[in-house]
Amino acid sequence: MGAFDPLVTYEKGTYIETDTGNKVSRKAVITGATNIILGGKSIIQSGAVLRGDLRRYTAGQHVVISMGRYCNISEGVVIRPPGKIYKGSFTFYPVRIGDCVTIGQNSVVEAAQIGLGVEIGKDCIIGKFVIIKDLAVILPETVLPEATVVPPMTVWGGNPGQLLDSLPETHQEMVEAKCKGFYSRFRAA
Amino acid sequence: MSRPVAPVSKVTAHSTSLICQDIDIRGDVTVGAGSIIHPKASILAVGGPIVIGEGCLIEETAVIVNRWASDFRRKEVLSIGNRNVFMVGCRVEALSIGHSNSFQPKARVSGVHVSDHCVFGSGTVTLPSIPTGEQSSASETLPPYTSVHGSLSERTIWDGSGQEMEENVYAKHVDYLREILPKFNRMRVV
Repeated sequence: MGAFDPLVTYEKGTYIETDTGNKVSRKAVITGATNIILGGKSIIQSGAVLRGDLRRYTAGQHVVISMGRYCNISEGVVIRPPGKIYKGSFTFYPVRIGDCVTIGQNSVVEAAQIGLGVEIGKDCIIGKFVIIKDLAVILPETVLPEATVVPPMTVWGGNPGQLLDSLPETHQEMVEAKCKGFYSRFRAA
Repeated sequence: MSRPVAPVSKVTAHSTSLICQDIDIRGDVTVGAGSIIHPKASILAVGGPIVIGEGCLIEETAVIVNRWASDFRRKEVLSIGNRNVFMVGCRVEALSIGHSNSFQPKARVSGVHVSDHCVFGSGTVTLPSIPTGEQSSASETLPPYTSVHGSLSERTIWDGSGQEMEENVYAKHVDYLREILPKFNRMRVV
């Protein structure tokens, strides 16, 4: 966040940079890319798995994973849409991820919705159909069971995840500065 | 110390199984009818063969290892029964697996016999509760309907409520995947 934070560098050519400023590792596994929307200036690091192929039952174009701006998906993260039976047939539901969302290493995310400025630590398991509202913090190694709703500006941790603390109102600015800072520091060597 | 060379991969898959191309499969693996393996799964039959039954589902970054032969100097088959679910990022090194078990995300199971209808919750660790020593030739078997949950990986016995519903959801899930997976992923020719 500070002006003197070290750069996070990667070898040139290992990441694909899109016109909108997304940086996607070549080693990330992205299936069904046509069903994934990245808002721009997001980073998807190597070894991440984005399952855009698990789409809705009905015909036509469906967005499976939509992601806002300044998101950071760390190494080994799995993002897959949750599925359930609706009107007698099995179908997957889309994952909506807001702006400035950071997901730590090796987390598994099957959430339905992640609000803006959410920070998820490493090795977390976010269960199916979880809704995480804006600016929540999920501590590392948290397990959120199916269909948990995390209110805004709260800190959650443990297995099963529990509400531990709330956050001050200044948190939003901190998160934005942190995400934008990380994006500007993440560049080719 | 020289490590043994990795065995030659030999995959026998049933014609109705669906196996994605982007997986790590090593050693002698048999995949039964109607089983589905997502991309990025690992099946490592390094210690002995692995036989996967019918209608199993192995999701991405799940790891199934048969490595116990190296400890006991014999080639034991890791047999996995029917309708088992291995969810994202689980790591299974069990001695044998029965039918209709569910390994939830990041569950770790090692060194036990798993019977039927067991559930291993997200992020739990299951190890044999008998300390392994010289007399531990009889390894532990988890009774049917065991449920492992929570941060302390406590074990309770499930009364089987909602089992039929779970099975129906699973059947439809598998049916849907059979339809949708080949559209977006490169599959192995079996």
